Amino acid sequence: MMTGIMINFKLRYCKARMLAYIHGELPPHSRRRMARYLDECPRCYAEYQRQRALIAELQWTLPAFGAASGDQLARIWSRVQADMRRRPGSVRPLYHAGYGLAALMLAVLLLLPLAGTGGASAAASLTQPEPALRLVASTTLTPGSPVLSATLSAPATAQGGQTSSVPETVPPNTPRPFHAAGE
Amino acid sequence: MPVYEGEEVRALIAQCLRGDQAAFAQLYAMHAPAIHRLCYSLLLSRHDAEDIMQEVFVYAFKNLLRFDPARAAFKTWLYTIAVSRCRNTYRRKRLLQVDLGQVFNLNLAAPRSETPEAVLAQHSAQDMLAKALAELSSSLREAVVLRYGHGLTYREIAEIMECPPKTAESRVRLAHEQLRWRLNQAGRGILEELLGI
Repeated sequence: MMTGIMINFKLRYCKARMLAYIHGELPPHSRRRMARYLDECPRCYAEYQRQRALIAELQWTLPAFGAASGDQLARIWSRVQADMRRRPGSVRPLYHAGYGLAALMLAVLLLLPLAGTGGASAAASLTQPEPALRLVASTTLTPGSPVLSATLSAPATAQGGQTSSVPETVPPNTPRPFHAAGE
Repeated sequence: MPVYEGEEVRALIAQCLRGDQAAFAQLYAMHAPAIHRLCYSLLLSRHDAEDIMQEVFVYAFKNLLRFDPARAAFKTWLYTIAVSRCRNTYRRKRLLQVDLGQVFNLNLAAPRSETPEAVLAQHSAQDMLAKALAELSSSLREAVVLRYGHGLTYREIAEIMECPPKTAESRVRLAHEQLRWRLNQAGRGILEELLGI
């Protein structure tokens, strides 16, 4: 019973390390242990022989697997050359113009929202009516001046004698507000 | 590791960068047989192997400036491109179309024993091995082909397969186990036939 367990243990140990052992990649103490098991355990040694046979076969068969003939290689070389000629500039630099263009487009995309905000505020300032009252107030401080009399008289006639702060320096061809036109 | 992996390859690459066509031809002649074997072993189709090989060399020659000799050998770089292109091909095809006709008509090296019985036994064993290889998953086949077909170290395999060296090692071991299992499944004592064991 004990012997059977030991044999299984040795076999598992050997199977797990067999490739490394055959390739000489085991540390010295594991290598010594493997060698001892191979000496003592016939099943371990049979496993070792099988693995070696397979490795030898792979090393013998695989290097010849898919070996190309000279004609084949020459034909592929002519195809490679044709492909290189078709697309000239065979050795291209790592950072070519494409990268610069992409960076430029990225920068434009990033700056576009900022430029949009600035444009909107500029447009707003352009469309907002100029507070002409301040201008009028600053210029109508002298009583009896023609400017002051023109400023005060016009709203009084338009809104039933009430004084208004609506500027009167509006150009003559500017359309009047809707409610004012209705009244 | 071949000697020409060092200065000679660097000199050739420098000449290629100056536009020397003869240097391109020399680089191709150095590496084409191995790249073809690799592509064929992974794709198991001569037609696909030729197409991928052409792509590999065109890409490599057009991107020679990207090759960094401090990071990897030129051969390893070419293998990396080839494996990557082969993977794209598996993905395109989903199920690998195994060209059994070609697998059975391999251009194998001359058998070690010339008696007709030995030749027959060896060819049978090689055919079984080829079929077993074709049944492996792509990553295990890559690992075992790079290890035994091209004699690369686990570190080189890891670089090419873009995985840690321990993973490369375990893939080789797993491929080995599966090959053994498949060959035993064949039930013909094939391993005993191989090498006269």
